[in-house]
Amino acid sequence: MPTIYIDGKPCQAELGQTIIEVADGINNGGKQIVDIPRFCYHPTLSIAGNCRMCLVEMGLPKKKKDGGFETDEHGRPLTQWMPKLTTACSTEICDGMHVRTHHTSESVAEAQKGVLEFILINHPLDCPICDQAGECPLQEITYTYGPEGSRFEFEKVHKPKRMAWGSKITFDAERCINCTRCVRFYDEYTQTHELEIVQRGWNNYPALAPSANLDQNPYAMNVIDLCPVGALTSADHRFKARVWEMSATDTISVQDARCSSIRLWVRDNRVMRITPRENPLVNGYYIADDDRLNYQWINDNRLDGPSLKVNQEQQTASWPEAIEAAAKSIKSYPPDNVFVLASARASLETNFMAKSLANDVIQTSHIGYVPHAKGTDDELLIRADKTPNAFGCNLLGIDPVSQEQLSQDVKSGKIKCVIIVEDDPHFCLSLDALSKLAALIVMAYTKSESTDNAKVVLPAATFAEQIGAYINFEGVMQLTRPAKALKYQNRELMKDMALSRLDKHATQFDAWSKDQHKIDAKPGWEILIELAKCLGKTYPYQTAREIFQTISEQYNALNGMDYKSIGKFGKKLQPAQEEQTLL
Amino acid sequence: MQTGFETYKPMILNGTPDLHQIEVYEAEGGYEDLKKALQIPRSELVESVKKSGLRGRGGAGFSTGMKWSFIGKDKPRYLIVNGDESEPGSFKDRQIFEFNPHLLIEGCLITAYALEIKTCYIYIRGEYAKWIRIVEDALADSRKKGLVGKTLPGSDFSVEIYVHKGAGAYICGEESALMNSIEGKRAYPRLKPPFPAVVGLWGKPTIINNVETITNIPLIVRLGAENYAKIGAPDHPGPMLYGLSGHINKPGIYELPSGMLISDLIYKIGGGIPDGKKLKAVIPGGSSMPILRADMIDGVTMNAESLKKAGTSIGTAGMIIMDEDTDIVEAVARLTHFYHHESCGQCTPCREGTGWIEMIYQKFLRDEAEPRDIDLLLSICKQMEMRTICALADGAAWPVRFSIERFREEYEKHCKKPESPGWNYKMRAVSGV
Repeated sequence: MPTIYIDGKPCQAELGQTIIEVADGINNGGKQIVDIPRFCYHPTLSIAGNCRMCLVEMGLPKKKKDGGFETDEHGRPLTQWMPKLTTACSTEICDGMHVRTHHTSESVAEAQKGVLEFILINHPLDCPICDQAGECPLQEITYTYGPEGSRFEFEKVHKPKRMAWGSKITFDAERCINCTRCVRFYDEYTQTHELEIVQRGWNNYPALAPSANLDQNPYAMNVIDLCPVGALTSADHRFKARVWEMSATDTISVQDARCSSIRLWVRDNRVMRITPRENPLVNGYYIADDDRLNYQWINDNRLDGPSLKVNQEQQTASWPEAIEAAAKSIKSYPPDNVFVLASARASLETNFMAKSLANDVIQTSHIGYVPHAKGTDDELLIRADKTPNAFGCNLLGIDPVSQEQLSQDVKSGKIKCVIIVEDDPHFCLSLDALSKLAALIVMAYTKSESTDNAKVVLPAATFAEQIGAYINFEGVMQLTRPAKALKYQNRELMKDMALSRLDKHATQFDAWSKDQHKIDAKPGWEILIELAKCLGKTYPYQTAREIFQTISEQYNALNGMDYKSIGKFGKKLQPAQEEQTLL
Repeated sequence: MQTGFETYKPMILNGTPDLHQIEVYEAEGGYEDLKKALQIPRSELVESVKKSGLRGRGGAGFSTGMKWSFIGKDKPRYLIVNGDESEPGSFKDRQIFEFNPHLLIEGCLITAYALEIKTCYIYIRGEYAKWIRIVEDALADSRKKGLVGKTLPGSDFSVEIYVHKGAGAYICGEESALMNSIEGKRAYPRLKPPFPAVVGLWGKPTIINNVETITNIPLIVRLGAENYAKIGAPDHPGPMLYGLSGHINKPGIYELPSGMLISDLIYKIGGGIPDGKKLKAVIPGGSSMPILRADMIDGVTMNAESLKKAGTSIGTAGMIIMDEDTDIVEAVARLTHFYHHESCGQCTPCREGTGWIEMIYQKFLRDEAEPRDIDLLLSICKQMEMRTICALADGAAWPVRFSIERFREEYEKHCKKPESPGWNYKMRAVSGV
């Protein structure tokens, strides 16, 4: 294996790798070896080499004419340093290469300062009102490597500001540093070619092609995260929150069967935005715009506390009253008339409890889930299956059931009572079937017409409020993590919850956090356990973790797995094990 | 070594009337070199170009034969003739297009044959509308004669030649930007390596030569490598198209052997400086090259070695001559405007630096400059030089750097304002000069 020397430190490397890849720790388990600042380089995009921020000094072993290497009087190989600084992003390594970064080279440190001074002369420096502030590579790199000030004393170049690139993205050309990451993203990842740089020299900026429509590009918003400055901002999130006011929870998207890894950004128990999280096993660096934009349902119109239907109207009830009423209703029908509708939207733990409730407590064979499919799979990330856990349901032995079949059974009188676990009644049953149904018990996230018609409504926690396992269409198991607190939770006491800087280090000046917007809901599995208890069976589980323990013991595919081993990046089920279980 | 220029007989611009017409060209012995070349094995042709010592006439002065020998094995391969002549002071390619387009076409055919290339692009800057038409007409004529696009007489080889018009950007003269331009992309220079000879146009091996370089190829075939190498300076042999512009009595393009004394070119060829004024400065080869003071040109000849010793470079041999009344700051200010306007904006240092430099020069012209602005200019140059993908940043910085180094007193005269206190131009962060 070739060796290169970065600041004199030997590093293993492979031919074909670039200096920046080695410095970033590609052969070091992803652990950075040395910091090299960069703007235009991105591991998923082609090399542009235009920002000139990653300049390093590079030298090769001095060769003799006969092919051997020259050495000094101590027999140490001599290095022939190149007269020009070279970009670490584009320079491929070779055995014995020497690299000097700003840690050991004056001229590299000076070049970095020079490049930053150049970048900043026409940058508006409107950081106080810029959404990127706090997570801005330009800010951070300037802080670490930049000059102390500017010698530029002229008016900055003016370019278009607040340009709407469709309805999802706002572009500020003055903040742009022309790294072309966005251009390359649309050229290479989505291959839709919406952007090109226009103008010349310091008037340069990326512009939309006349006929391009970014609203039709389902991945358009990834350029917002790619942008190393605040030139591209989300029209949805613009001016809503400062980065440091929010907690960022590493979790997964439940928008479709990809289960892309994401971060949920929460302030005051409201989700403010969603950004992608790098996960080579699942989604790489990017997410679909649907994953990013669909979060209002977590914040708004939520069911807040259980309710019962009394005289055609929903009346609030306490949890014990509501559970009691639900149990009473279930008991009033023969088990064969009860259908437990599990959900591919719910976690593995909740589905496991739904199955236990059906098979062991109610003792009905009627259990299934209604698949949600829309559109087609694309070549990148988007899946037609709009549920995150169909794989998990199948693995637990819960079979899909169509809306038509279920509605038919209700209309024919075969099914009289349906318990819907975290799904939309309107989607699962036709309107006439719903009206014919004798008893509907709904565990739902949000208020709707269909929850108004239910006999018992039990508000369920969303993926953003609990920990739970989901298995995506490729068999990768990942965990959701609680990002916002429910009514009876205390953020600081919750082990699994990501804390914001505020949670950990709040001061008296941080009065804007009121710990508001806590919703009275419970995780699905908890509701089902309480229901089972009312129906005469007590389960010993206190946490989702304990349920998962049981599942992993019962199902071969999950043997030996626990929350810890799933970690933040998930774990792929072994194909052999899959087969075993599915058969 | 410049002896004998009085008796030199031009071969490229030989003054024959209507030489752009194929009948006249053929009557003058045109396309005979092609026929001769087709009888020579390819490897021998490449070898003789190497032996001739021909160096590229586009500015970098790299050995043409060496460049050819680097061509990748992959096929198809492409030949590009770089006629995006845009540098202030350079106007030699235009003369070839106008007065001897068939020699260029013949050169293309020989080169293509030697390197097994079937497609050749002649890239001409869009502003040269008239000359594009002349070359296109010449191409049509040679096509009719069965030379272009048809199997060449006495061989099984055919070459197609296209004229590609630029759209008015200096950067398209940079070889890799030119290839992007032909491909229909934005003319951003590409990262090197890989070099065009290996990964060039459409990702295939590509040889890209200057117009004048290619017109020298038939001459090498005609004279033989040894005889060709005897013309002019041994380190930089061959006929050379010298451009004389600026304060000179007889401006124009002159074909003479390489290695001419700069003083001979100005006084013997160019007829001296108007009104008998004294010389102040010469830029020897297109505006990017380091400027020479009048007292630096004694004994300096127009070839790579001699100019290097004098602290400059030959570039395109398009000399800009400035008389004693020239305001160097004003002259360089005009150049800084050019480079600012032409920077493609890909790399940070060039994108921002060229504009910043121009603004400082405007300050000089407004009589608002302070002495520290001179050092600021040098510091900006240092931040630009050798730190970008292509050489435009160097070309933009050199006129500034060398005019300051060699004419600092002129700059100081322009600093009409005293140093204002409290502004520390030599910030600790960005090192000074």
